[in-house]
Amino acid sequence: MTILKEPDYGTPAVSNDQSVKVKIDGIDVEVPAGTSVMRAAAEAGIQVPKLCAKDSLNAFGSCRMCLVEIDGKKGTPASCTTPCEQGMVVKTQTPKVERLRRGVMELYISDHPLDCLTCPANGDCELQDMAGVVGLRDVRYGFEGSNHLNEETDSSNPYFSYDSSKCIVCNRCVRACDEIQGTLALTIQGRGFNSRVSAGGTDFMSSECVSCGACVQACPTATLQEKNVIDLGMPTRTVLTTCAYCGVGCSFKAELRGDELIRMVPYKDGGANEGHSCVKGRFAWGYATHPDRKTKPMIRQKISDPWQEVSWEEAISFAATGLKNVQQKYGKQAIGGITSSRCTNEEVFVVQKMIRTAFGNNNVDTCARVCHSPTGYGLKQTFGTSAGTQDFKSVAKADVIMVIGANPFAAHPVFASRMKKRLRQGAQLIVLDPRETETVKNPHVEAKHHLQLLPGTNVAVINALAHVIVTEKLVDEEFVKERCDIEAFEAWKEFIALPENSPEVVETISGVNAQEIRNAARLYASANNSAIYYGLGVTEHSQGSTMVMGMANLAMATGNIGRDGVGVNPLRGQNNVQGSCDMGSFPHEYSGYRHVGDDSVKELFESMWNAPMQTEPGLRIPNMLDAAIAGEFKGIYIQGEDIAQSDPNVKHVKEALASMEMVIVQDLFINETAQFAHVFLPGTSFLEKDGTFTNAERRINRVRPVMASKTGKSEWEATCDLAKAMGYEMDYENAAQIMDEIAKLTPTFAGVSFKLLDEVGSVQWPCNEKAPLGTPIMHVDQFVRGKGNFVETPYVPTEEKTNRKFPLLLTTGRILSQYNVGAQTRRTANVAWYPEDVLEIHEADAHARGIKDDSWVHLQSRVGETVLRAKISDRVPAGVVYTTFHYPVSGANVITTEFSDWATNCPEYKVTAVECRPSLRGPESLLVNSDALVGK
Amino acid sequence: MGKQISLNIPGEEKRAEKIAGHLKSFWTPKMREEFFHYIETNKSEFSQELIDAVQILKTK
Repeated sequence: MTILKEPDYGTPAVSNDQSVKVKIDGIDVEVPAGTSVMRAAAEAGIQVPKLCAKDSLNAFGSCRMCLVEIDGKKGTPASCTTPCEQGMVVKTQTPKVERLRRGVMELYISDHPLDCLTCPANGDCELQDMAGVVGLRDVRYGFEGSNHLNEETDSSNPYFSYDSSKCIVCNRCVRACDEIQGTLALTIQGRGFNSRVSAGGTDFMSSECVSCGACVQACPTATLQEKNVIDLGMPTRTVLTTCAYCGVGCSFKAELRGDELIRMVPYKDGGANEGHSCVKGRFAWGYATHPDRKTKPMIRQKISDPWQEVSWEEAISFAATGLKNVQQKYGKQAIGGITSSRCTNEEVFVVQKMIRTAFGNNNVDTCARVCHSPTGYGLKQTFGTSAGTQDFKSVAKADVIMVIGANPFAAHPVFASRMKKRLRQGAQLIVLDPRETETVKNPHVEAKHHLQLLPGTNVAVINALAHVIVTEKLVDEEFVKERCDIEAFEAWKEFIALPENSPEVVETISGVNAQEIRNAARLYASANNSAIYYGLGVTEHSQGSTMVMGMANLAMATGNIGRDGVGVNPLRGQNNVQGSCDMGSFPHEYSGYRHVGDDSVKELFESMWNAPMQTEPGLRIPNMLDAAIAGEFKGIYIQGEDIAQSDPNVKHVKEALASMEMVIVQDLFINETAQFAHVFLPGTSFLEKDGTFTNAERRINRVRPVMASKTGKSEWEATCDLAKAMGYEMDYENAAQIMDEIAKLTPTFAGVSFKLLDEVGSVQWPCNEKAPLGTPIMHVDQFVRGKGNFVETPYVPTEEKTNRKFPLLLTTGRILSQYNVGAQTRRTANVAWYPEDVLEIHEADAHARGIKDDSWVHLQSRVGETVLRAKISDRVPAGVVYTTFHYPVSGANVITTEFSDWATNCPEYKVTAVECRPSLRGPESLLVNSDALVGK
Repeated sequence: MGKQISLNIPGEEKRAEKIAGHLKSFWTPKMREEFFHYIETNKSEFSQELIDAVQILKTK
């Protein structure tokens, strides 16, 4: 595909049932009332010249290029700020407006460097284009007067530069930062001729800028320009694909020059992001070609041996022989595998198929085990299916937004921008979080209620919110009667009304003021549309599943399900968490969340796969690790995960891996887990993959190969080869064929094919005969399970307790510029923002321990210890400390324990009793000694 | 884990059946067998519902 330039209509689309008819340059156009003349003209195929207008931004009317004449109206109004009126007759090209436009353009050009031929935006510059469109031939004023041509360039941001000399002060960057990103980091400093774009009076890197790139995208000239474009030149072709970072799943135009990726530009028609991006998706893709990348298969007899590069055939044969030997010695159940939420649906599907057929057991699990497995359990029990209820767009209709255990500003920034936009329009925000995150309070958004609960008390607080709703008669009785199981509701109502669930009692458990709980509950229940968005602060607890059901109860009791603006929505951590779960990665479920014990489903898979299926659940990840240490589980295939860094109690994980006889790791890098591997199969980055990702709103998006596989194989091909070497024939010609098989076997995917996705862009499952173009909002007329099921949710305190030895509670999370275990983002310039994990600690706790800001702190739990740099912060309350797990050197998960969710074994990352003290030395002094475990 | 499941599966009615259903749906046969064995020799540690749930599973 040549470079893809999306049409720009100048001003945003207007939604209005009323329409008006106008005539523009003799062409009749009918548009929704309120549509600008500029947009109406564009819809009629007439491009009015413009510089400050862009259809992703509200009309501004500053550049004076879009002037038109309107019959019966005085003067030459700007078409971007003039709404169409019934019967209006507009002329966009008259001698008068042509003269005016040329005059304005002359002024612009008189203060613009005339270096078009050497300018990085040459060929992609709207000023250049418009100068041509208006027919500018000379500049009468000369170039000797006052100008900005010698202003300095700000190159502080690692990904783009700001060259003030090229700025035409159109305000597009400032408005993009305000209206699209919602950070308001940019402004126009000075007045009149001295007006310049400013990042708050400092350079971009020192400012509040979050490097989302919206300003770069909005800039009509080379003022804000990607450094890659400056260094390498303009791209010449586009491949549409999907970001591989968080669960928002943004669509991007990968823009290349030959085979070299120059830049990633968010795609305006992307259903999830609608043209917006964050610092990771837009800029942090350089890891794909990082020198650390391994592209050749490698094997070794023992994990203490050096790696030996071999052919694919030899590596596959070695791996298959190793796995078969293990099964011969220890039994069929002694091996298993883990699928990856970073891989495509197709890659995941073939791995679980290989395990259920070639391995002959159900010992398949996925990294969602350690993040959103409680979502699957909780939403299935209450609503009937394991997925969020809304599309992202739905938040624009929410009147109250309740964010629980999530910090979308940092972890799901493109969704956060949608949310901020709604909050700026007046929606109210309630946040349940132990920390005062950016989502709770920032210069432009502040939660109406921040329920700053103690880690581990989520369920108590959600019950108290429900208690208020029930006892103050705020239940939507009509909804409950019509849509829910009444018997279950009555039992729940009786339970939730118990005094133990009252805000006053819960205050003593959670530390949240009872009146604040009452006010938040009233606000949530009384709004027209209230929506819940949640993250791992809900799921990664010993009662993660209970909390998910508690939120579902709350939404059902208030009738906040089944329409725009409401719902219960998991914000998935990784790009394909939803997809990897959908694809049958859990040991008890086939694709589409059907239990392995269901005979009719078993028969379907047996006939399709021509292999016997097991009817009992297999091992979950923690079960596999425990069984390994017990000497019963000896071989594992790990697809694109780093369990030796991401899973809790890393020491235990490493001991389990070290005790196995055949560990196969498929990854981009020799990660922490690969230190324990016997076979390394090189993986492909998202830029090389062909397939689909499914985001948190169930949207199935195409991932298209931007470049050829650097390993010589697709990952699914390597999996098929391994299955065949194990004795099970598994062949596909391409990834599309795998999706066809998924569709045949999975009712919710029955209508999905690459052909459909290429035609319509994306679809949200269920996509089948009933919903051929997918289902943006679920449970509209009835719940998937029929009647909504209220489940009683007793609060059971975690067994992880503070005591005199470990008096603080550690909770973990992530930050904007880094991602998960950091394997990708640590290998990009994003390290400029966050070069190491730090421990946030309250001033009182730091003072009591003699800990100074920026000094080393020794952190210890009952399972491990590490050293981090202290950051004294009022974002955490006294008694709570916080860190991230992006860097293996500090290894936050050395500290976290093996306590887990009662229903799903999702680890309780969010609650660990710890103590800390000043340390003279850094983390290197305390690294878990992998060398000792691998026998070096 | 068994105790945790027992505490978190609420309701007066059919609680043992619900616990049994959970263990059947999510635990491997070997995990269940080991649990049966453990509960048999340490009954005093467990709630009656959990003991009943194990009985239900054994008879299935």
